[in-house]
Parts: sequence; structure tokens; C-alpha cells
Amino acid sequence: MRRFLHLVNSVYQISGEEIEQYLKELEFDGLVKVSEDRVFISSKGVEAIKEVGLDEESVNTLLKSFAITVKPILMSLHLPKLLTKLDSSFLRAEDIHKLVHEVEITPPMLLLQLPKIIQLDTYKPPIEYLSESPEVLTMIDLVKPKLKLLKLDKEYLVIESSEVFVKPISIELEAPKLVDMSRAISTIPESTRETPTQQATILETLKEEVSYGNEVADVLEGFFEVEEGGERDIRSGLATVTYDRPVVIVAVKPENREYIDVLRHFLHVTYRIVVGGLPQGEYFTLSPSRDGLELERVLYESSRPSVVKVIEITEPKPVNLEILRSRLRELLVEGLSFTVLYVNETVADKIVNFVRDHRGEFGAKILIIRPRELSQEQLHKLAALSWGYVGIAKKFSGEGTTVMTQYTMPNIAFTMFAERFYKDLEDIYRTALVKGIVEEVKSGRRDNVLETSEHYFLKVFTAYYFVEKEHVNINDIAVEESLCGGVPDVYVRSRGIAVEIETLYGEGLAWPNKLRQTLEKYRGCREISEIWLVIPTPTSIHAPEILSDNSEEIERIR
Amino acid sequence: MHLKYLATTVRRLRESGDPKSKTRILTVDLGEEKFVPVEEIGRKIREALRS
Repeated sequence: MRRFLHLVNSVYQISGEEIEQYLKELEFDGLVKVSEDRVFISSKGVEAIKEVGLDEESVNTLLKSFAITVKPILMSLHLPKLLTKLDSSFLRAEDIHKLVHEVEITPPMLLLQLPKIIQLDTYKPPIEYLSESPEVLTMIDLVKPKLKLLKLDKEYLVIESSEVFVKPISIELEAPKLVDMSRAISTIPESTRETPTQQATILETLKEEVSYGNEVADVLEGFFEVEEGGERDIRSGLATVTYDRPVVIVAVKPENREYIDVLRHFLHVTYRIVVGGLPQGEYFTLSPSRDGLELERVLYESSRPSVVKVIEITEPKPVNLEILRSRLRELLVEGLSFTVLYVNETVADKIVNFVRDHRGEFGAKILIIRPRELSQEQLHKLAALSWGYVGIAKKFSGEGTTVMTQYTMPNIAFTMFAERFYKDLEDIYRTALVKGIVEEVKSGRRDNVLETSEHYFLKVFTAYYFVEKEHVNINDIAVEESLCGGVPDVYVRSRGIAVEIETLYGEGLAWPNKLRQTLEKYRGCREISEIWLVIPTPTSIHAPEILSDNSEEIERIR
Repeated sequence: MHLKYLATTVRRLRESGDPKSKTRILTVDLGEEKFVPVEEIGRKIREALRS
């Protein structure tokens, strides 16, 4: 809510795009309601205002001024090339998206006529847009470029009745400056003076991607140091795991920073996506006091495939690298397994060099990882966000908060939220059971295999959400029922929303294709106006591309 | 690669005038009992790393 007040106070200083984003977030939180061309504060929003210390009178004043009238303005979203002027007015999000869409399909052309003479002190470039889309013409008129530079013919100057007339040589226009005004220039050169009209392709010349690549990060990047493109890139390393090639990971453990459970979770998810089913787990600790039995098991007895195997090495003494080398050589002829050498920093160099020296013998993908150094606050937020708890992450403000805990270990923070995630799923299931919602949630099968519990829980949650939060009648919700040749996990008839829960388990490298199929199968289906692709948790998005690189596309998709 | 692939597909559907052009990629916030855009999570993670 503080951001909201900040927004109100500084509406003239921040970009339209930021305003739109704020409004969307606030609406998502239920604090405001955007309807038609107005923004309203919800009752929840009023309470939130009070919480930040405003008195009743101030709230009433704010309420009178908001309903903010939302006047049109073109934002930078996808249109860095268009002129805009933030004059306290904005377009509705859907209008922006519509305009962006229309502009992409039929890019309007700028038409600027170079006049033979102009009246100097009152001259404004007579700009027109040409477009096949009436909607574009309606909205784009709000964002005409400015005059940047007018070059005049020195030989021509006429003064009549105190009015000055000059002859232009060229006219430079300055296009919208939301992204980079210096690049937003179109010029009509002198050579075209004889041409009565000139199409200046501002929209095309300034076509550039607005990348939000640095504005978003994925969970792996949060927990681990990532050097892109090599053996220290856990993100691309896990994204390209295959069912027929083992993986050896040297996981360096700085003192007092236990994180192996975080890593094991990601390997677990990766295994399920690549292979399907569940991996076996093995965990061995080699230390001076225990090396006897454990060493035997690790180095002689443990040869099961399809495992997430951790060998924790705390001291250099018990490591017999020759025996370890022999066991790792067995991997070459096996399928996917993850062998994690979880090593103290004191032995890290030795183990890393050992693995590098013999990597060809192992036939395995090699990854070397280190945890990122995180403050307590960062760790808390990251662990919460890993399991989708945006609300909890927001509430962490350090001093004075009851949410703050004293853990500093990634293991503890991460698994605490993991436990909470599954407990919350179970609680919601029980509530839905009591309310009769579960009775309507059919189980799903694929290739005669029953769905995962995670998938079913989320179907229940979806039905619960629409019934309890959106006040949709349960009879209006169809679960696992055929529609237009597909079978949406959940279909909300009155809203035309198809919800598809995508665990991606068993899809292997082709999981993007699975997503595509999910979208394509409803092509032409008039009963569906919107698809929600639901990813169970952010930790299941091991490929960073879903979060980064092209998030603007996602923005447009919405 | 993955998101681009997905985004391209969605955009194509959209340009073809298909009614399903509105597609959201979401995950769940069980604490608030609501759906949240995946991208919002990504943005929050970035903010956390910068804080």
C-alpha cells in the first residue's frame, strides 16, 4: 500500500508502465479495482491505507480523488518507438494490449509533409499516421512525435506583417522517449524536398525489444552462483539433462552453509521431468570417524541406477580417489543418475580437479556448483518464493516482524517452506472435502497411469479457489471433462477459463512441446476464452527461460 | 528457449484471432490461497537478490 501512496504522490514522475504494473499488482492483491476507465479503492484497500497511518479524513479525501479517472496515454509497453507524454493519464491495460497487437499486425506509417515554407513561430509538424486499423489511428493520435530539429534555408527569409516565414531543408522528429529518446529520431533529408509526402518509418526504425531479462530471476539463480554456459551453470546444466546420461555434481559447501537438501529437491524434480516416476535416494557421509562402513557401501556396494546419490566428503583423509574413480567409471554405461560429491571447501579443489581430470572416463555431465551468499532476509524471501509464497515474502521487513526467523542455513529455510507447502495443500484438500468440492474433482489418467498426487491436489485447489474466492458455483466447474477435443484439468464454464496444471513429469527434453500441445489443442474452441497454465511451484521451473529472457512476451500474453 | 517457444505459440494463436489468445502462466500462493503470475515470482526473486 505504501507503493500505492507513493504512486499517487509521484504519478508525474514515474513511467506509465510502472503505473500499470503497480495497478495490476494492487488489483491482484484486492486493494484496488480497475473497472472500465476508472480505478477504485476496495474496502480492503481502505483498510490498508489506514494501516499505514492515514486518518479517516485523509482516506475520505483519497476516496474522492480515486476513483482516479484513467485517461488514455500510450505506455512504453512494446512501443518504445512511439512518442508519449505522461500527462497524468493512462490507457487501460486491455487497450494497450489491443494497440500493441494492432500495431504489430499493421504497423502504422508516419506521414509528414515537408512544406515549402513555414511560419516560424507557430510551426508544428503536420504529422499524420497511416494505418489500416481504425483502432490504431484512434489511439495513436495521442502519441505524436515532437519536433527535434528544423534545418532552414538561410537564403530564404520573408517577413510579412511581423510574421516570419522560412524555408525548411529538413525536419527531424523525436519519437517517444520512454526507452531511449536518442535513438528515436527520424529525418526527412534534403534530397526529398521535392517529394510532397515522405513516409518516415519511425515505427519500424525504432523497433527494438524491451528486455526484462535482468528484472526477473529463477529460483536456481537465487540459490546458486551461476556462470553461464559452462560446468558452473546449473541452470542450463539441469535443463539439458537426458534420461540416458549420468550427471556428476561437485557441490562445494562453504562453512556453516548447508544446502544439500535444496539441491536434492531440484534433482528430484529434474528426474521426474526427464524420466518420470520417482528416483531412489542414497546418502553417504565420509568422515574420519565413520569412513569404514560408509566407505564400503559407497565405493563397493552402491551401484543402483536411477538414483540421486549424495556422497558427503568432509575431510580429505578418507577419500580414496582411485576407488572412487573406479566406481564413477561405472556410470559411463548407465542411464541417468545424479551423483553429488558434497564437499567441504577444504577438499573442494582436490575433488574438482579429480573430476575434471577423469571426466571422460565417467561419461557423465559434470557440474560444479557453489551456493550464493545470502543475507538472512534474502534467504527467507527466496525460500518463501521457491514455494510460491509471495505474500509471506512481501511481509518480511526485517526488524519488528513476526515472520522473521533466525535460520541462516538454506537447508532449514527451504525445507521449512516445503513442509508448509505440502501442509497447506493438505489443509485445503480437507476443507474442500468438508465443503463437498472434492466430490466434483475427478482423478485423471494419462496412458492409463494415474496422475500424481501433486497434480490432483492442485486440481482440488483450483476448484476450491473458484468456489471460495471467486464465488463460482461448483456446478459451473467441470473437472477432467472433454471439451473441443481436449480434456482441461479444470474448466470454469461461466468464465470460459480452461486451467491446465503442468507438472511436465516424464516429458523429458520435449516439455516445451507439451506446453505447446496444451495450448494448441483448444484452437478454435469458442467455449474457451482463456487458458491458465499452472506450474505447481517455482522450483519446478528449472529452466530459467520460463522466467527470464522474454518475460515481456508473458506480459503480452496475459 | 522454452518460454520463447511458448510465447511464440501463444502469439501465433493470438494473431490468428483465436479466442484463447489470453493465456496466463501461473503458480499458486497457498498462503494467500490465490494464483500468482510466474513472472511476478521471478521479479520478486530478482528484487530479493538486489536487496
